[in-house]
Amino acid sequence: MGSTFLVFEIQVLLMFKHDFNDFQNQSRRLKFINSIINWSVPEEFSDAIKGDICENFKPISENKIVSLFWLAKQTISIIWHFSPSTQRGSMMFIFSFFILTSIIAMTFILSGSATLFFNFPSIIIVLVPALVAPFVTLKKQIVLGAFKALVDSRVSIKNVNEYKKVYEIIDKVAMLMGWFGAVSGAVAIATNVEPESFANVFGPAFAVMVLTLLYAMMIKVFCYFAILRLNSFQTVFDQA
Amino acid sequence: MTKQDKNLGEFEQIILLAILRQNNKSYGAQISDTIETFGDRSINFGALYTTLSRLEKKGLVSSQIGEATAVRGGRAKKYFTVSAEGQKAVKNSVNTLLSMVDGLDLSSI
Repeated sequence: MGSTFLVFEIQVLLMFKHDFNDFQNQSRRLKFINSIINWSVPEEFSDAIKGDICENFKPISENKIVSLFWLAKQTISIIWHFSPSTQRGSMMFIFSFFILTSIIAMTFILSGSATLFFNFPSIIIVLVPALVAPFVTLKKQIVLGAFKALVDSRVSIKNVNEYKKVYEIIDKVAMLMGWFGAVSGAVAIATNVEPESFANVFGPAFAVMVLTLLYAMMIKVFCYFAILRLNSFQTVFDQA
Repeated sequence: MTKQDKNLGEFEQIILLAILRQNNKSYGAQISDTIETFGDRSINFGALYTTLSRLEKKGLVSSQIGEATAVRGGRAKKYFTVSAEGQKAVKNSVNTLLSMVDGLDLSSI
């Protein structure tokens, strides 16, 4: 947990590393912490905390290092104290996502070399249609709302079914494109590989061919988690 | 409220005493300054407001919206007041502490 916060603190420091003198930059620095407050703090305390931070920040804003650490400390404290109660579902989703990503990365690394699993054209074949399809079929607000719902527990739950559709579309399009890539690869191999070089060429070509399926499955797993997360909204809604 | 809920934690005591020091009406930044001045301890707003929220749920403090000022970016203050129950709780807590300390030679520790 300590190292996670260290990484986060560094990110906060990087966000606030620019010019420290004029008012515009002060506002820019406060904008980040204000968005954190909007995300994690209950509405009844939101304005009061923003005001208190603004009031205490102004006298120290001249000193770049002090103000930087002070803001980072406040940001971490607000996330640490409020988000377990207000954004519990989102925190669990983010945590699950990191675990999932780590397991996938570990699998890749243990299989030999992680670069074996990276093929840019295959990523494009699967990812681009999967991300474009929901925008084509559903309203932009619904698609953006579906992404926001994963990391913000306080989105409107009346659209949960629409949000689920977004992930169902991404899942289905990714799988279809994954198969499309695999079959196209199979056709290309069948057409181009000569019988005398078959043994040498088939292995690597087959590996690249099935990468589109691998990416599609990774997206499918993500969509499954996303739908599970959205189902938790539905359960809370039903109980209410 | 159960008996256990009425027991105050150290930070809760400090916050209640800081509000009482400001004529029993104080807002977040002021509470923070008071604790820094008298308690020689800097506090974060995350910890302060979660404790205030807990104290409010216990009925030991009440809050009201105050005036907005330019220095706060036009945002209103939220004033906290220690309720009668809160004053009783802080008095009991301080008395318990004093009776525990009474007769104890702290200079030898």
